[in-house]
Amino acid sequence: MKTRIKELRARYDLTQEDLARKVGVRRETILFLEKGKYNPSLKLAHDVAQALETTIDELFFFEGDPR
Amino acid sequence: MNDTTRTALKAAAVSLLILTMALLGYTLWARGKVVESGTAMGIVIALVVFAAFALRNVAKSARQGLPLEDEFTKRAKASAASFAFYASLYLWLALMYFEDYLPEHRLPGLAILGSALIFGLRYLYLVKRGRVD
Repeated sequence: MKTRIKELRARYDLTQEDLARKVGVRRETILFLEKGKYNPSLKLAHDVAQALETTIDELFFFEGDPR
Repeated sequence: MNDTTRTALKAAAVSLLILTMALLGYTLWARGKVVESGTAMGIVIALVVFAAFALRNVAKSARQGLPLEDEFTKRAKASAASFAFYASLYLWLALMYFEDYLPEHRLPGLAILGSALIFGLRYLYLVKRGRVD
């Protein structure tokens, strides 16, 4: 799974720590999400998308997905 | 239960465990059981190192205003617990096989310690790896 978290985080000038605080998770969780290692629950995906003012399908995608 | 209460309860439980193991180590040493005493003191040292590491993480999270536990850590714990249960079945089997070579009445204690160790190591591995599925 790929994400655009890092890209959007940079756009809003947020650090991983800032985003973690906004979402209410540990910084490491944001790190693993960005690396595509951790598959979040729908609730966490929604919270991250909301914090970055985007939608879940804009934020998370799989390689080969029609964009 | 908030983070402060949870941390205080965990710290109390770990302190009690360390104190109990230290007392056990001292009692065994006083009875002249040097090897058993050394093992107990080894566990005490491992627990103290682990507690110091955990305390450092707690302090760091508190300073940053971030939670100690979240969805990822809860999933990692659940995954480590199921792995520890599965691995413990094999551990029990091995302990029963080598029962005659082990100190008497130590089987349950060894099995519980082994399960706890498997859980702890697997949890640390998952938390470092970042992939819990």
